[in-house]
Amino acid sequence: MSTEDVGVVAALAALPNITPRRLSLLLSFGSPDHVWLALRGDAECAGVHDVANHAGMESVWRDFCSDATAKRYAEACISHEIGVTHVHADDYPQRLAIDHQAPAVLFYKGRLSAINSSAKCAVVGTRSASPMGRIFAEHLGHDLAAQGVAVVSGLAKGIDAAAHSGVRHATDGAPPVAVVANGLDSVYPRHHTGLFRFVAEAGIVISESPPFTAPEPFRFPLRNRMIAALADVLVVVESRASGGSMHTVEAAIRRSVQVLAVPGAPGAPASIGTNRLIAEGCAPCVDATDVLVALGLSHSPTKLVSPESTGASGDLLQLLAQGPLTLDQIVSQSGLDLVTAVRYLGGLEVQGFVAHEGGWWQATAVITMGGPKM
Amino acid sequence: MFASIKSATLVGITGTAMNVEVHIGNGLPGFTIVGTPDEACRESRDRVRAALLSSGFSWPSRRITVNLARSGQRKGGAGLDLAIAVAVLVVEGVIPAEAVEQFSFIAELGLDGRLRTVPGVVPLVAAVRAGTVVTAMGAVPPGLSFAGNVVYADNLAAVIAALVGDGCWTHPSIEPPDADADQSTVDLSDVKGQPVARFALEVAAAGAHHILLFGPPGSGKTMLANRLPTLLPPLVGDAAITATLIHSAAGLPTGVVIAPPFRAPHHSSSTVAMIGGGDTGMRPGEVSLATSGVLFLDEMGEFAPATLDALRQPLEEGVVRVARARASITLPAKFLLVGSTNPCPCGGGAPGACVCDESAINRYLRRLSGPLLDRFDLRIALGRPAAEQIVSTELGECSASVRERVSRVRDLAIARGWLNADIPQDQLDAIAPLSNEAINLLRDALESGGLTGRGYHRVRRVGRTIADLRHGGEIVQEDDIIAALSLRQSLNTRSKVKL
Repeated sequence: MSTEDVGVVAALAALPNITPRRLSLLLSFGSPDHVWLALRGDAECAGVHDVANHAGMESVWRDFCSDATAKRYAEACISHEIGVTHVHADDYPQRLAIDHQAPAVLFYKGRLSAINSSAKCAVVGTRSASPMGRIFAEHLGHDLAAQGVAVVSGLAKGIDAAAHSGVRHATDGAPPVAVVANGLDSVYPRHHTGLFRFVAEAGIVISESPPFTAPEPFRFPLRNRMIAALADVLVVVESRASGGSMHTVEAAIRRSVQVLAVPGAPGAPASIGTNRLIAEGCAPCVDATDVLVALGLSHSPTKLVSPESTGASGDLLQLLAQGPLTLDQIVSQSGLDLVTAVRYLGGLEVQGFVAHEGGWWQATAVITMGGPKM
Repeated sequence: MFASIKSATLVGITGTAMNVEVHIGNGLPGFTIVGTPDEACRESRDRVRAALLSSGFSWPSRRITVNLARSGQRKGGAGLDLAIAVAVLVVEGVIPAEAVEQFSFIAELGLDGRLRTVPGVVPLVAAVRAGTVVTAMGAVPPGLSFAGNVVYADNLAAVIAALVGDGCWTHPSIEPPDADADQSTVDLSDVKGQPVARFALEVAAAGAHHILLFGPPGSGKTMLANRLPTLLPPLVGDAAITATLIHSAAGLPTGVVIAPPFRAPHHSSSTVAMIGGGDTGMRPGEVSLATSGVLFLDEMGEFAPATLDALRQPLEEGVVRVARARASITLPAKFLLVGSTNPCPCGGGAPGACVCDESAINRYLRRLSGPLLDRFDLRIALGRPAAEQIVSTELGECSASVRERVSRVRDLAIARGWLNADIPQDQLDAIAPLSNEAINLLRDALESGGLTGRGYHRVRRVGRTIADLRHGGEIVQEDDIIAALSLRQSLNTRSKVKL
């Protein structure tokens, strides 16, 4: 696409009060150039005028469609290395084109081919996830990527970020796909910049919002429908009773995408939504194997590696199996002295059987898939 | 017509000798005080007049002018009452001028003529280099070197009687300070279980390492912090005198301060209360009051960020410089900082028990983060003690026996020149040499990102203290460093997902 075309397509997506539906309608009347000229009044197209009239934006859009606007958007896309494609373009991903709510214009950073390749599993969940939820999502992201399944997620805080940082730890994993709600010229939340860059380099980050678009709340459900549209299977790791993840689930069900939910402790606030899904008949997911089965892929059965369960290490693991403990509690309850306890814990941590954060130690072996790693 | 009487005023914890001049002359009857007095000082007029009348003297109905020389410096407080009253009586001829020459007077007067002690009386008395100080009963604790120059009286009439030779000064019964009287009522043996936290307190006391305790409500943070002063050796020599001066200047009732001070300001405390300053006298703040003892900030996250930031200079330099338009003073502020905080706004506790939003936790912890958090050599996570520990009747080791070890390590450190927490970076290799295994361990920790460059030096200082406690050997061993690293726990609850 030429620079002018990029500017025109991006500017169309940025029309004031445009909606995904109106944009699709506009582009159904012809090429972006044609629509652009029609909006300016430089070309005749009854359909375009109808849409503009109906939206009550005719004069606003006419003023907006200037060469300066197109130039501004073209420059933004080029300086931020944002790619642009649209439904009439050859490179528009087949995968999205067949969706009934496909975005008419798509912005991306990374390789478009990543969308068409391999089986895809969306991993979504609450932003205020529990530590166990995040660890699970991280392991799941890692294991799926290692098995060649692309992980699709929304780069939000909590589960989304954990799933993709799991992919980051996999060597030669399937390319990750992220769908975000705001313009690709900025990263939201900002501290995910590193993760954003990783996904854009290893796979692709897409958005239907043009540059300069803020992450307004209404954009997230729209983002979620694209996640559902891209996924072959949707895994909800943790979700509250209502929330963004539930929108994704609805969108997935409408598209006949299979939904898996990760069971949580009864009554745990972060798992109320997922437990409800399971109660309503959704298949549970306890490790990557369940996803592979749902995708119909051949798979090698995962092994649960059990740590040596004798000696002081075993005693410590048994102690931690009952729940997270502080170092103080471990020393007090195991009867070991501080240095010995720390030595054993350090050994177990290197093997991946225990993890510690915020001063708390906990056993991780119960959810370790395919042996300890990371 | 004129008399000049010696007294003293206070700024910070330093007294300055000064003169109270009184002139009584003809003119419209009146009583003015000049020489930049503050409000309490100006009110002397009414107290002095009432006290003189109550003590059976007449009040001259002439023009009385009191000058507090030198006039440039602002004078505060009621400590000049007695000097003004005596000066009036000298001018009136009740007392011969020669009788008061060798005396300085520092006391507040009651309306009935009784003498009261004033805040800062100890530094005020210390400021008088020559002669004898007359003050209220019990104002200066016996046992201070300059207490010998002090005479006492109950009321104004007794002062006059002693000065004119009709009576004698009251001498307080000199009883040696009771060693057990200051003994605190809390003891480390009250703490059940919690071996790591106990050890951390011992390390903190021995090496003067600042310590942060974090954990859910009910995990014993405050109980542990309260017991830290009981592990410190009693104050002796200059430390005791400085502490006594500070306590007196702040107006706290005090004998000689021997027990290490324990200050626990509430989290609503203002920055001035914490650092010092305020009215004319520049009252010492909590950081100075905690000198040679413990400053305990409970619920650190609730303190105003500006107040916490203001702690940085004292933590860095051991003194606090308070500057105001009229005066600028330097106060000692060398304390052991103990902080406590919940790990998050809900009090949470164990992973999974917390219901806080991630951003809420970050907001909560951001107040502590950065430079201040860096100053804590020891950071200990606490959980709620198990039921069997709570009901256990078994007593832990008592403070006295821990204090013995602490004193031994402190003596070792002082012989080397620095308390362990204060060892300068360039002296670390000489004072705290590492074994090869310890070097490898620290290198691994640095490479894995678990330890920052700044943290490295702090861990070595803590390692020195632990080595002193564990074996007293010259070389810091691997086990000492393992223990030091394990006492530096991460407060960042969401460090697992590194983004």
